[in-house]
Amino acid sequence: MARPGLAVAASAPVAVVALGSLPHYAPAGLLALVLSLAAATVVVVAAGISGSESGEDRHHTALSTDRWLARWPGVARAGAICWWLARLGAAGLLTALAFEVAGTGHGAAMAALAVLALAALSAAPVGRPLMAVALATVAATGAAVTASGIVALSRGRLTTAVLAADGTHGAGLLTAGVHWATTVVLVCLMATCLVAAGPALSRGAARAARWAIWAGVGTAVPCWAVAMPVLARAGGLSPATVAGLGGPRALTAALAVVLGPLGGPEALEMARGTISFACLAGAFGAIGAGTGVASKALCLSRSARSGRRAPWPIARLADREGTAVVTAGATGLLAGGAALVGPRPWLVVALGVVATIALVLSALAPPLVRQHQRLPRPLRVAVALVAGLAVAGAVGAAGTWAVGGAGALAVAGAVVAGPKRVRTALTEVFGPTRRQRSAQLGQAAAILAEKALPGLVSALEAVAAGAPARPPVHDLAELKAAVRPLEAALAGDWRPQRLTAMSALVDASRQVARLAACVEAVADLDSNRLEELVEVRIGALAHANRNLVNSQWRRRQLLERTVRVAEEERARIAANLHDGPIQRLAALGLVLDRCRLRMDRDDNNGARDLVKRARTELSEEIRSLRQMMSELRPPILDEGGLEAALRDHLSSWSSTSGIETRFEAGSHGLLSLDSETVVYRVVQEALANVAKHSRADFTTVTMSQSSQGVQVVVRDNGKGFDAPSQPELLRGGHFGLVVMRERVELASGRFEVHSAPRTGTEVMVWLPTISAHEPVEVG
Amino acid sequence: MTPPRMPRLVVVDDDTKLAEELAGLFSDVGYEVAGVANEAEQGIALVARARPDVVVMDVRMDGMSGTEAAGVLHRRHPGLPVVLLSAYSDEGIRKAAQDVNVAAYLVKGCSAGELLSTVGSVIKQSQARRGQP
Repeated sequence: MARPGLAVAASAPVAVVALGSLPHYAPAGLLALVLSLAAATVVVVAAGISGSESGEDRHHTALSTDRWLARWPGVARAGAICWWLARLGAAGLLTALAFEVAGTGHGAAMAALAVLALAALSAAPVGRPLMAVALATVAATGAAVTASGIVALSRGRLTTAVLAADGTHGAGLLTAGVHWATTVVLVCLMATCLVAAGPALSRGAARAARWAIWAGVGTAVPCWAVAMPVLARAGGLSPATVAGLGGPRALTAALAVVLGPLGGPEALEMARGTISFACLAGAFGAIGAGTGVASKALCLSRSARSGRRAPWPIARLADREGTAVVTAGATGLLAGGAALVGPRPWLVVALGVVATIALVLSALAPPLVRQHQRLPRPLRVAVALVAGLAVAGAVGAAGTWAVGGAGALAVAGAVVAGPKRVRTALTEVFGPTRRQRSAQLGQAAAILAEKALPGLVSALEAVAAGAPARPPVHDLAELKAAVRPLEAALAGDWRPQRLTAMSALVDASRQVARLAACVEAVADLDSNRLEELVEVRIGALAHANRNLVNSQWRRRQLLERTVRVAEEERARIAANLHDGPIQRLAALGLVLDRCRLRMDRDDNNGARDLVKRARTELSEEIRSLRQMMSELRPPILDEGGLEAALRDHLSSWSSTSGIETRFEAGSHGLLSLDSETVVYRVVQEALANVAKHSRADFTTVTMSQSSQGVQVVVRDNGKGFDAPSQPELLRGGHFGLVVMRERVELASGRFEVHSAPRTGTEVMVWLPTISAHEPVEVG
Repeated sequence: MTPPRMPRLVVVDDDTKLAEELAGLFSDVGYEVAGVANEAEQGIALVARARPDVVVMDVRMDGMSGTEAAGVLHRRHPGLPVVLLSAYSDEGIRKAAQDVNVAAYLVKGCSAGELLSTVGSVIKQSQARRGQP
């Protein structure tokens, strides 16, 4: 059966009992009861969810819960207090039910104490956020139910006292005194429970709880011890009646003994009765606690024998260190119920069953138990004793047969488990003694100093020497096992600053574990892995190197090409000068010389002819030189702009090449002079390529605006080609396109060539226009 | 007594206008211009036909250069003086010309007087070597 279902099933009898008792409750109490039931259901469902994983998973869940708690200490404390209040509320409710059912009896008050003590033991479970929400809900209901329980308890007490006092004035005073004292004692017990929740409380809250205890005890006990005998005498009641109304007689016994001479023979008689009861209660308390320890030891021995975890529910009970105390509490409740068998047996039995189921469910919630484990050892012992005392009170009221039964159970369990396991169970339930803790500390320190650290140092030295080495795994595991109880003790102690040596050792062990992890990581970097890494790096470097070499090769090719082009250009200009101006001018010189010769011979006509010819030659030569200049730098580019220059060039190119052309120019922005030159040269080169290679008979040049720039496209209808990549062009020695691209990209432009066989070629150049804010260079 | 025969001359230059001016100049001063050629090979053929006394030839021409043509003429017509006329004044070209035993090397742009006197002295030297008046 799933846990949530179990929780609901467990809640049902509680509801039945509560509904059966409805006439006894005021509306406020009824509301509190309903809220309590709802809250109990939510809490148990949440506990079921948080504990629904099995085995290792549950362990991890618990660890993650602890981490979560460590991150939110305020929430952890609040949750712990809420849970405790909820438990207290349930305890108050059960107590009130007991009083209402029984009407009176010694065992009822003891049962209330037992329930309160068990509530303290199960203080402070906090799980996932869902659990925190559930606990927040419980906080309010717990407080309300607690108040309701106390009120109901007081009403029950009052009724009892009034009945017993025969309606006299003294009895009225006695009733008021008993009521007050009982309330104060209950407050003190609540404060004690607050202390029990120590790890979950802040230091201030714990201090306040201690003050509350001493204040409560300091006022209630003298009041009870001194006032009761006086009031009893004044009211004409017998000491036995007063004792019967008094509740926790063990608490008043010592003071009653001291104050006996002052209180007269009645007080002494009462003290004697109290002492004998206290002795009996102590013995029964020990039996109750022993029963729990024995059952725990029994479960441990079962697990050890089978070599595996015991089956549910034994395993769950056995694996919880609080099982013993829970068992003791359950026994107490059952015994308390047995004490009440007289008036309404069926209701009492139902009450006992419900309480037992509820307590078992509490034990199944891992955080509850872990929190119990973290309680300081003296407090755990004290709470166990209180629980035992409560059991004893209940059992004492019930009869010796119950005592015998519980004792027999405890002895049988202890015998079956054996002394060693009993010792282990005692340690697990009540925590290690100071001596055991010292021994654990010494053992852990010895392992750390003699095994783990030297082994780790050796491994580190080996690593430093270049040899892969593993950390001493076995020694480290041993150290971890030795430190674990110390860690638990540190986590459970609410004053960990007192345990400096232990804390330092635990810290040192954690550092060693981290160091070992580092060594292991280094060891994992074995030679093969290193070689792989080196190979990968070498591959990457080789790739980068290839790219670099390629890049350098391209640069060198381009540089050579640039130098060669410049040289060719110079040679071309030199050749032009040789073939043109020099020849012309030399010829002109000869003409002038001939002219002089003719003039010397008085051949004026001949001389005039020569002068005329010289003039013609000179004009021709000037035109020729202007043409040359125009080729070097078309003046129209500076004077008429790019569009006019392109139009002009296209016209002359068309007449030279015989290829029909069309020039289209849309509106466009302004390019810088440098950019215009770049575009002009690229178009010039592209047209030269068309004439040289394309076999086209038609070419268009379009000029247009395109996204913040000017785009010029030269398109022909020639044979086309497979546009190769830049490296392929360089390798093939085709520098024209490469130089064009480099030149355009240098001017922050784009250069594209689109071509395929038999589809013609399109050369596109795009260059950014100058922005409106940029000053326009005027050539 | 028959008047002395005027020196016969062949002009070789790929620049037609300059070649014409050269021919005109030499004609003006009384030379017999046997022909004008615009290529080296053409000039060599013309020399073979016309048997000139001197050849005035450009250095840089398409195809065979003037220097190479001078070498050919020197082998085929030993003693025929060749005056090279070049736009270049480089020492290297001048030395290459001397290697093929050209009679003179002139830079284009020199005066007509310098050209005429050089050609005249070259012809005289040639005639002196051959024992002619």
